[in-house]
Amino acid sequence: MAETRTLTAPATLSQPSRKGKKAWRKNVDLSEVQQGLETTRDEIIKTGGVIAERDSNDLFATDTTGDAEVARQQQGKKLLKADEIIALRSAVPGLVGRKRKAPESAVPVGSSKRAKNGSFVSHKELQRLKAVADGANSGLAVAEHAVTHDPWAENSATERRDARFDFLDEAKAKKEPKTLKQAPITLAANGKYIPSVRKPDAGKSYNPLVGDWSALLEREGATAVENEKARLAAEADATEREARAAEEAAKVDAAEKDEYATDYDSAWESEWDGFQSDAVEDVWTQKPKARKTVAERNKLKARKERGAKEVQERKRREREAEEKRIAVIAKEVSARDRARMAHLQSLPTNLHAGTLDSDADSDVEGEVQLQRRRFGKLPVPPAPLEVVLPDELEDSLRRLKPEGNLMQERYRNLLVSGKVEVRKRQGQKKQSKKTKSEKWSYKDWKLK
Amino acid sequence: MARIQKKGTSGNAKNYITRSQAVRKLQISLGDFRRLCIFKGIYPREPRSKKRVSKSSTPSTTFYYSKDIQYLLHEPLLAKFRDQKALAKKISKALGRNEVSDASRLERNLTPKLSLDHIIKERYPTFVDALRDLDDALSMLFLFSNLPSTSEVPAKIIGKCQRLTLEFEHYLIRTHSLRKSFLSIKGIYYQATIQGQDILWLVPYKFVQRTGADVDFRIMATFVDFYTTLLGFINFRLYTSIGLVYPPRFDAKSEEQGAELGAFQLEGQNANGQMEIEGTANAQSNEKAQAEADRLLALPEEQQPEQAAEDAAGTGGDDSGEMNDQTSGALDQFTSVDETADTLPQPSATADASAAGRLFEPFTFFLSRETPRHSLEFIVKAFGCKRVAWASVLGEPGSYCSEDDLRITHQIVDRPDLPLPSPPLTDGDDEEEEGVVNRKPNERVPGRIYVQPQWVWDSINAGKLQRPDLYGPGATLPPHLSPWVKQKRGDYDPTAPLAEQETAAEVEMEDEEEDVVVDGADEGSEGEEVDGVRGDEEAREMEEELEEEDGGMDVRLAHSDDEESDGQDITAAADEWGGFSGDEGAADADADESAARQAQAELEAEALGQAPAPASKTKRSKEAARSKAEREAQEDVERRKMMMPRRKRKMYEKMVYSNARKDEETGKLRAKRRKIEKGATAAKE
Repeated sequence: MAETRTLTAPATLSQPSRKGKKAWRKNVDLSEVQQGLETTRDEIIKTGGVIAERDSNDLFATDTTGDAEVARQQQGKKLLKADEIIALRSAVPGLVGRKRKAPESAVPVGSSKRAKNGSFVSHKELQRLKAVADGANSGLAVAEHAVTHDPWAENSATERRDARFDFLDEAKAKKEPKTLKQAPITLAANGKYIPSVRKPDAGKSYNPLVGDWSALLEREGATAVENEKARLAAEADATEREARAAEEAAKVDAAEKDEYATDYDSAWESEWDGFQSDAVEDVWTQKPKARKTVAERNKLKARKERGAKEVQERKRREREAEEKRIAVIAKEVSARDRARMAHLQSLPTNLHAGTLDSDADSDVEGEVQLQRRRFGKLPVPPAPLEVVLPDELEDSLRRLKPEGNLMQERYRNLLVSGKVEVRKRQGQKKQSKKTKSEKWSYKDWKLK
Repeated sequence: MARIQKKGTSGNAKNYITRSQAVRKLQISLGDFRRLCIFKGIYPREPRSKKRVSKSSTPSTTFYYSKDIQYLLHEPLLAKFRDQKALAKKISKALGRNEVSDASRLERNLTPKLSLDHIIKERYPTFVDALRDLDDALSMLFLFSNLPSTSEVPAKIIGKCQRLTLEFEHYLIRTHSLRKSFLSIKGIYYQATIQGQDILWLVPYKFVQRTGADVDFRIMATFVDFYTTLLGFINFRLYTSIGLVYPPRFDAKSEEQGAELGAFQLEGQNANGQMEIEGTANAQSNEKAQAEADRLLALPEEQQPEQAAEDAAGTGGDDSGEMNDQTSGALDQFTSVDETADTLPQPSATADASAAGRLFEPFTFFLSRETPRHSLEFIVKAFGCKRVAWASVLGEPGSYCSEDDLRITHQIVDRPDLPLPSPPLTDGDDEEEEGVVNRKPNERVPGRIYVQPQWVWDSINAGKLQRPDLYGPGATLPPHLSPWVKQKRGDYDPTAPLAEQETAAEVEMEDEEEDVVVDGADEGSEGEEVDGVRGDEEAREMEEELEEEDGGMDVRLAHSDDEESDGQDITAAADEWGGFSGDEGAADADADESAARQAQAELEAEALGQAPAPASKTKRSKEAARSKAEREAQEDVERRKMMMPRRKRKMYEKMVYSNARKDEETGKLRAKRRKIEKGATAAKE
């Protein structure tokens, strides 16, 4: 063993142990140096000098002529005719994008063979026709024709009647009812007309006066906080309700588990198989009711009568109190009605009595208090929030980030001004209900 | 005994009809009924008692007047809907027999088309009625003309909306009837006056419309159908009223290239019914402009830049020389006889078309590519400018000239700042040709005014050109005020000069302060402080220190958000907005200080055996007179209050209180402005 071990410079890697006398060796590793020295010695032996020190001209030769063999091989190869033809490409670049079916309008009529007798109808067209037959095409298009007359011009041409029928009375034109011209009923709580385009709030300028803007921000912030509070309260409510429901369900579960003392599923299975585990009979805690005695019946009857009398009495008192103020109430009601009718019967000409320069408050943007009653059951969608937050406030038009949604605002304005009722967005239509049932016939077999 | 009436035969039960009853009566589908109602202007109604109206047990929700629905039975459109129903039956029959081509032919030939022409006259008996409902129509159509095309909003509808709105804008440009405009965060508001009717509409900014989730597009499309018909007729009437042919010639090709307003060519109608093409001022080959350009090139070069602007102004002025005289008389201002009465609404500065048409007349505008081209082009042209150019990325055709052109007087930019051009390297004759070419991008061209877009809006709203230096590129802009917000009596108005708004007391206070400053200058040299009397500066400093301490304590005690911390958040106006408290304190300090000084001066005067200064005496007497008058007024009010019933008195007191609060606020604002103005003048000196 001792002969095989050669003497080397100290190295860390081969060191068997770090303990002992010669632990200092770990800091001395000469293997790299040793290797370098050996490589150099090898190079000197093989080439007569160190390669790194020699000039690159001594090491490399530039081949300027090329390999004759390769040239010969290349020369002999002849291009295939097919390749030659393929190589003949047009300088015009090819079309990009995938192939699409040409629209029917682009295909000239009668150009294709099947359209020759003029009776070909494509599948797509057929599908459309089927839909039309089913009444899907209810949205009739509005005819587009050039405007050629002025509907408000004075018509001088009066209809000449036929002289032969002079003796006949003139046919009366159908008169439109007065109600047709009544303004729509707005949803505003004060019943006032809401203009279609309200004048902008001063704080909604893209580069607002600080006071106006902060007032707007404060106002919107307060409403947002309020809404958030309401939302949180509703959420808490919901969670509480859920928790209660879960509790109830757990109770029922526990009761059922109690009923079938063993495992829940297996109990059912065994029941299916035909034998019932010895389930506990139902225990009724309430006693079956005995028949009421006459005295009891009388008592109940008396109590009912007393209650009815009390209610009657209360109502009578209320009515009397109201009768006393009947004049006041009548006045109130009539005043309300008058205000209402004055508004309702204001024809469109009076509708815009508050012109743009007048001081109508409803003209200027802001919260419009909506009344609780509305057309339909659905709530009016909330107005989009239009306020610039402090960190988004820019004084350059270029960097302005527009707020709000005009489409929504237009739509909401139609709703609020009472021109249309609130509608629910019709999503996917209800599919006809399908019930799945298993056929049991596969069970009808007998072991022979 | 009277006959017993059957239920549901009279009263509300007869006057109203539920929606499902109406649909059944008209024999059309619910969707068709909705469209018909929108076209005819039949709105849902609300009976006093819904229970009495409907006979069914389920609560009905939408009611209509029975008479309206009865009248609908005579509607020609209803026949169209029924025709469609009959057609559907025919097609279904043909398909059932497998006669597909017959079905296709039927569908092709028999599908009815709605025509809304008669409805327009019915719903708007006069043209003014139609104009009154134009605000909704314009807002809707401008909105749709800016939408991207989707399956719900086909490109065809969008194109139609664009065409109609552009035609309408051409009318406004031609008649200069645009009055006001406002850049809001949602879009741009415009107000025009047509035949005495003010029409306000809202146009969205380009490329921002997200279509909302809870919007019923079928209803919107029905409204758009109706409003396009309406606007078509209105345009026809407006065009013919100013002697133009409707529809104007439309160049589809240049429209494709992005000439929005430029794609239309207005044609005038001659007296003998012939059409003539109106000269488009915008065309490149404008002879007048060409002549002017030639003359400019002939000018000696050192004059060129300044001369260009002047000449451009001059050419406008030459033509309208007599017009200037004629319209120099401004509109009447309404003055109220009673001093205490409410302020009367005044005609706005741009209230007449001739004034509006002259505002930008002499100028040539260039719109940089970052500005909203369409709205600027429209506004600038509507206020008289005939020559508008823009960067070619905004659309090639219709632009008046290129950016380097020397005829341009105003360039509208919205960039941080533009460097001035470096001094020319070459001199002499070469520069005349090369000076234009050598210009680097993002460098100013000398001889024109660079302004931000807001300048245009503020100018038209004020009715006069605003100072362009306030709106230069990179400048902090003054706030953009809504032209529709009316100042109430006693409110602070940032646009009016301070002198108009000040109360008598404030003026006196200010005078006093000035006097004090003058006195101080007499006694000691400027900057030095008189013994025993603290200078304004020192007092203010002390006051501020106190304020700071207080504020700090507040924060430490109870993290309260006071004005100061708010002020820090509002970065936009940080330099102006420092909260009220500081100024107030300073003002108080000033008052105390002046009083102290007054006393000091008097003492000194007494010691010297002189009478106190007569100036101060008159001042005091004036003050005394004022206070006396005030006191008398106060007494009078008290007396009257005693006569009032209690409820009215309470209301009056509330009113007085809230007015006082408001006055206080505005007083603070005025004080701040005064301070700023003083600072500015001091800085100038």
